[in-house]
Amino acid sequence: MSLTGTHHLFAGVSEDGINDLVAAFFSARPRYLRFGSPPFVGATTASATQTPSLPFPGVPGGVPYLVQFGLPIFDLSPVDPLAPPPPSLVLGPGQVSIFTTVDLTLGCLGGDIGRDRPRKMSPTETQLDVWAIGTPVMGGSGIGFDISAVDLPQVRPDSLRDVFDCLLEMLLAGALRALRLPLQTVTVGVAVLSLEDGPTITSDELDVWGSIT
Amino acid sequence: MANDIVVAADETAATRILHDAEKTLVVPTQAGSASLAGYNTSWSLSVNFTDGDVSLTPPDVIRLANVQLHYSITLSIPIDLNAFLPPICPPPVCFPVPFVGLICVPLPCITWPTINVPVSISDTASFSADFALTTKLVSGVWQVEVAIVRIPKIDLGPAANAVIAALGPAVAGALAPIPLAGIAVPFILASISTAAVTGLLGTILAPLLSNLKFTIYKQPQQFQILGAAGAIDPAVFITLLDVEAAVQASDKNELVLSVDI
Repeated sequence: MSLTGTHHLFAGVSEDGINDLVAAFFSARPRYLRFGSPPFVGATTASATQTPSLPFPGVPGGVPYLVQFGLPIFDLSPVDPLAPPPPSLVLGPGQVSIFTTVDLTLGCLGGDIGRDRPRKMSPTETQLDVWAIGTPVMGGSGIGFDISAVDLPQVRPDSLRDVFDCLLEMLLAGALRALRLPLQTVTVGVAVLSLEDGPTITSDELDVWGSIT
Repeated sequence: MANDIVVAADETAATRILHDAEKTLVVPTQAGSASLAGYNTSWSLSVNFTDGDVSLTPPDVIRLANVQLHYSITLSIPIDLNAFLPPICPPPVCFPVPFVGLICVPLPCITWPTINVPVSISDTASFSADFALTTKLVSGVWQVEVAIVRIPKIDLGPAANAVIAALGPAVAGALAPIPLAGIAVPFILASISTAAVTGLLGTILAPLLSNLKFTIYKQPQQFQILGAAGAIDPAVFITLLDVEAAVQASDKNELVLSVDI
């Protein structure tokens, strides 16, 4: 069976290739894995993205925080039996499971924060494993990944886990929104592919088909 | 999938890739000299290639049929008119010398010059040939080329006929400024046969065609996947560690590039 099928051009990226591309992206642009408010992130640079503190009444300046993701590792379906997602997540056909870690740091403000006096901030941190299920999507600037479910298996009780699952689903989806692989990347510049089918995940690879423009 | 990235093109896409490669091939104007019916003729040649029907043959052959070879040839044919016209020998000059008689002084014969006859033609010929895939990394740039396997047969008859047709007016024009030389035109034209012109054209084109290559893929080993988006978002690169090209057979023959990153 031909690679191009009923189309004229085919490009396929293996699971290792996807992870190499993801690693290249986040190595060059680490700010898309590190988000924080002052004082953790003084300004947006190539290394970190500054976000506003969490505003809350009675907490002058808001609650400072830092979110640091580890390099996401992609597993294209079918599931890698050596590193399966937790039982709460099912990697279905055409999907990708993503494993990463998240360092959550809160700028814990000591003393009476209601008073107008300098407060001592003590960073309080935890690191958690994060599993996610996603699907490849074609956006305006290239292939990305939409997150549909997240699980943090270490968090207990279940109610807190549900809160963190939801929180990290939003945060991880937001972080991955910047990851876009142009079609020129998956064809490594062989030709300009006009997409007709895909992106589709099958047998540990991500495939696209099209015609040549 | 053994490789990180695989790109496949069927014959339709491969045809487009080859046609694009033809457009990017810039052949510098060639120049030289060669014998044309005994005349040491200077020539210059410019060419470009278009079109051609692609068929893919595993494991590494691409056949291009009916490639259009567009050429412009300029010849400068040096013709020694002394080979066609007798020297003009004026009669001796005689003058009387007292007490001696008539003294006659012979005058040197006038020889004819060598003229350069310029001939220029532009035309198109078609040829078919097999090309073999080759891949190489040169100075940090990956290149996949298709190189011609052997010199194809090209019908140069029409080109030779065009040269012969252009030769008449060109010779007449070159001789027009020389009094009495016009009578040599038919003899000069008779000395250059169509076969001789065909031979010259083949001599000119053969080296060009024997080294004919089209580059169908050319990318730096440090391949940019995203351009810089401001000072805080630098460009993103990957390293193309290995590139291989081949023709693979299945229900459709395909040109396949396999890349490790």
